[in-house]
Amino acid sequence: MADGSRDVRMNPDSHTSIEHGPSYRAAFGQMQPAASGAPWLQVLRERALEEFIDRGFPTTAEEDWRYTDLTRVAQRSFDYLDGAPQEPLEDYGGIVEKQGLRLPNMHALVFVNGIYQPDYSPSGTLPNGVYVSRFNNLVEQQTEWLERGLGAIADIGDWHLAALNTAFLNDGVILVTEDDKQLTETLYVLNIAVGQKTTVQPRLLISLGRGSSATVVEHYLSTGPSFTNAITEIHCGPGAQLEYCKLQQEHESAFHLAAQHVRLDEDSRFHGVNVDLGGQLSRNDLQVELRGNGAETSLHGLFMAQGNAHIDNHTLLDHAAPHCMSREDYHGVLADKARGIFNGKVLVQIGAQKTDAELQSRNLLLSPGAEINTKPELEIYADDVKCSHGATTGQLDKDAMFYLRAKGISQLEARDMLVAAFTRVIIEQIDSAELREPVAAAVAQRLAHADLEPLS
Amino acid sequence: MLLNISNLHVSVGGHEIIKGLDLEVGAGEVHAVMGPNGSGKSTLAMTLAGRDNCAISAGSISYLDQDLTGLTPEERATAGIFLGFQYPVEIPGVNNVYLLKAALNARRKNLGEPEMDAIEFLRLIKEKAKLMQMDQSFLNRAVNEGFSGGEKKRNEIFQMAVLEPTLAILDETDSGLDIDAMKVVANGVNSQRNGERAFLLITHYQRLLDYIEPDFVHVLVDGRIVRSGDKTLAHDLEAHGYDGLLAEAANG
Repeated sequence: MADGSRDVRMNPDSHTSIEHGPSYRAAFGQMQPAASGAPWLQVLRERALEEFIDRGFPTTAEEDWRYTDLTRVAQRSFDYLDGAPQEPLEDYGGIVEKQGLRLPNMHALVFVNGIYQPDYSPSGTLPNGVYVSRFNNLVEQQTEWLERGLGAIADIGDWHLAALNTAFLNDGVILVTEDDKQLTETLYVLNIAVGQKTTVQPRLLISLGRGSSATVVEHYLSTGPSFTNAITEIHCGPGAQLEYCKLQQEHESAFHLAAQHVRLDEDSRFHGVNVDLGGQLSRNDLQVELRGNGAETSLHGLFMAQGNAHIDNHTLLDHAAPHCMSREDYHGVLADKARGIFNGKVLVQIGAQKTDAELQSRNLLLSPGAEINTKPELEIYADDVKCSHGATTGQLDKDAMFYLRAKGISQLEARDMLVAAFTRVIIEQIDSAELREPVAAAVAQRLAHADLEPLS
Repeated sequence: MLLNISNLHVSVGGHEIIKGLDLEVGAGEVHAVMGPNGSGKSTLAMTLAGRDNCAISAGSISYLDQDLTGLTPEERATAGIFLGFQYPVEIPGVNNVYLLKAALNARRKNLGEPEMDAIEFLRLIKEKAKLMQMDQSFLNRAVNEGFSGGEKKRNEIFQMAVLEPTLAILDETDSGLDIDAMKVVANGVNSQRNGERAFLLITHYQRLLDYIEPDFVHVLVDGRIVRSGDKTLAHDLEAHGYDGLLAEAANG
């Protein structure tokens, strides 16, 4: 019962398909086989292509996509889908230098248009039993892991965009640990999309063994109207702990779709911070399945949009086992005519007794034309649980604004101070101090570049 | 004349609160404005600081021979007008010292002075915090967050001491203070008195004036100043209450 009501897939009375501009089948035919060349992967890709062609992009007739229309994504033209550069790249080294994170201890993999860039990817020293590799550079045992892991959590039959990503999969990153291994360095995966018609399908696979721990940062940048469709699959074995941060700073004309599918075994912990600062249209789906007793997760999100940007965050906390805890707090800041969507759902399955869940959505509208649709939801099929949810949407506190201005702070500076305070609550949730600073700086820069309508 | 208010009429939310108020404040003078609840004392303070919901329907306010009414709150503040709030606002996430530094540098910019360097600023705020008997830990907390009523008022006077305004408007700074806190606040104010700086003390009770001796006392009733005098007027009020004055005002 609970599973069936998770989302309404189709409304038979609605127009449920979007005409694709380009032919995906033709593009698929032109694509080179993945460098790893494994026959199973080619089979999987072909199956994914058929799934995607059958399902197409999600449409606004689907409840989960009613506010986010992908027509512009589906109909945009592109020269290629597999990331092979067809036009001269700009100085992406400069982008890495300027925009890429520089953490004191990190193991980095930098991709430009989906192509690995060894020159910009400083590697750290990985402890024994911790494996970080690219899909196109796997040794035998790792190929088995990839075959077992790819699509195990983000099912291509269940998720349109996972099918699209898998069909056009070129390269990706896999992190696997044996039991009781600690990855002390941060695994940093930077994806940069350059060029006008670029489409990239980043893929990240994380599997932590029993009692292992790691910190992973995914970072997305672009220079123009590219389309990124990222899929991340995360499995935390019993007692494993993952600190995860996704930072999305795409170009204001870019399209960014991303999904993280997380599965938690007993007593494992997933702490995720999701920061969305860019893109013309951005959608992030974060789904966490707490399927082992005593698993814990906390999700914190910050999204900021201005101009005509559209930014959509969907989260699902699927409590499938007893004694699990989840905490979720998302903050949205919308200016100009930007539109934000937050849909957070807590699902407590039959038998998930003693679930402890709290979900909060807080939103700040800085301009009269800005808009937010927020919907925190609880769906509970167990009777001994503690669940709460709430949503607030407001403008800047008038009393606080006047207080600051009466002390001599300009209106603009007072606004920035209050917005920074609102965002800091989320940034402080980032576990590593080294990461907190650059993220705070990126948020501050976002504010400084804000060209907002004067406040009334 | 530092401040010249003439025939001021102010409405809040469509209701006229100040109904023809005249007041002159010269440099270095300390004026106390007293009055019962609802007489318009806080509206006067808010109007002088530029709160946008205080709509001026008639009259004029000039400050240093400049029309004040067209200026934004921050323009007034950087021109030397300080408002000590009756209810200081808690602002989580904004650091007390950060606010003060930004405010001070905005004021200095207006005066054509360079930004104060970090070491000099730190020395200044430590000195003023000591004057206000404020614990150093307050400085690095969020603005007024979790402060007691007395701590908030002390923080207002601390800000005033750092910003060194030309005209300080203190809106019921004495309310909610115990006698020790009142003495600290009064000491803070008295230490800032000089031949240039003027004060407008807005208060309901006479007791603050036992510690800060005013040059002039005005009684505000129903949006108008009905009596003005020296400090002895405050003592008369303490002895006889506002009732007599209210009756006087009612009879026109």
